[in-house]
Amino acid sequence: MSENTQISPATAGGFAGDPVAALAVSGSGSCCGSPAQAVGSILPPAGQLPTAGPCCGSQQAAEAAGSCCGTEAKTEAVTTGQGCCG
Amino acid sequence: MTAGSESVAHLDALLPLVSAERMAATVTALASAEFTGRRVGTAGGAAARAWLVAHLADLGAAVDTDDFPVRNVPELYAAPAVVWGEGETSTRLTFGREVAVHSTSADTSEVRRGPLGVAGSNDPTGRWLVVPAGGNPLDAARDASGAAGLLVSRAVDADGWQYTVLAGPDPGPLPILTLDAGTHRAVLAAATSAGWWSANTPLRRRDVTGANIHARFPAAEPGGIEVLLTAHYDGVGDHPGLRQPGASDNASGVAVVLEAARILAAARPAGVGVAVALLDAEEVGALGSAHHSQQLQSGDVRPLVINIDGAGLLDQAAAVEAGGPAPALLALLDQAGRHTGLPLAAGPVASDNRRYAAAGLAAVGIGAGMAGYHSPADTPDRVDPHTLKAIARLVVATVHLAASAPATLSSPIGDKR
Repeated sequence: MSENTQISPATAGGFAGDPVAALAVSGSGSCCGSPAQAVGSILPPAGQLPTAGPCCGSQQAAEAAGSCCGTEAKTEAVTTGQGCCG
Repeated sequence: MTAGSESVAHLDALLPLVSAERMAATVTALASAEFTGRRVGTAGGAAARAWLVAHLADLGAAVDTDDFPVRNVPELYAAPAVVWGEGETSTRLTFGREVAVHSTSADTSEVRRGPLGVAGSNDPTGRWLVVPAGGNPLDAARDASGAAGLLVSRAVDADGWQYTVLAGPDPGPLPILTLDAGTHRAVLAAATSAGWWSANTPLRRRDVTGANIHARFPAAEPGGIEVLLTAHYDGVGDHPGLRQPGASDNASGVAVVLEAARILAAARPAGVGVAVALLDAEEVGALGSAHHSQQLQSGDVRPLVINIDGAGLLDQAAAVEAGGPAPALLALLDQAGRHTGLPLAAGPVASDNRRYAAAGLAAVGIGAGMAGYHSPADTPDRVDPHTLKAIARLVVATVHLAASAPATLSSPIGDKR
């Protein structure tokens, strides 16, 4: 267990705020991101509502769906060598 | 005793049955050399699938698999041989740390040697062109006709690895290698003098067959709630000479789902049906869940989906990302978090949950950390047993509370503390 992990019945569990914020996670409407980015002690705040449509898959699939992978996100993905999901 | 308090008592009797040791053993098994990192379409992936099918059958589930095609899966079929130098000096680079093959690289099995140059400044013909830091390799490639290849800078992780990514655009016409920042600086300087570069990029694409694993436990009675527990079992796979065990990503998630299914199958909480989908091809773009969610979309069953991606190293809170009509599911998760003492926070979980949500299902993704993401450092010893236990307890509690939600749900959505 990491030094900062606090899991015990004495710890206040559940969401610290409104659980509905999990429906508006920043970046969930884009292609990019990885679970690794969700592991730090500082989680990104909830942000804009996710867009509709598939949010994973190949660049071609995203383009075919007309959603998901915006130009900026696509460029970032290519530059860093990072793909859409996983 | 009321029905609600009876149900909570039943849940409290179940939670101590969650075994961190059993889950750790599952992680170790799935991360073993026998399964070669579990990349989709590989023999190791098939062996892991067979192991999981047998495991689920032992739990009493009806198990089957469902194939689907997966195109253009990147596969490094040899470690790249990379040497560079100035004049008479030469340096061989370490694959995975100092140098890696870019995911959009062309496949060149033969070593190419040529002078170094700077992209955008030198005649590209026959040269390995160094793209200055921050430059876009696709832009550089457009102006690099006739070049031997491109060299781009890439950050390394905390362990010094250039982590592997399988999902992404199709390959371009040029060999492309990624260099850690220090190597990139040195090579960029050498590109203005008498530097030379010698390398191959043995990265091919294969069309393969992926296969999801479906396990069905007794369905809910009419009017009951169906819950689908999901986790992807594929990984980015081993490279030649470089094991990538995929312990946190996502043997840990699979272990949690198996343990939760074990507990729930035995307890059979009234009013809830439990099914499990262990998904393939997540690492190439969540294609297993895309395939499965389409099937669910065309059927009558609309389960609540709980996807686990990464249960390796919890820090302060487990990340939760939700999609689709999920407020009620989030309320259950909140209640379960409170009951088990696990803090939750809205955060990105870019995984299979997005496919189910996009198909209109209530879906949550839960991520509780990974060490050594997509690298050789993703080993079983870095998966924290307490994290496995905390997430499995959360899942068991969520599903159990779903059966008795009207009686016990004391923290409806919108409840502020």
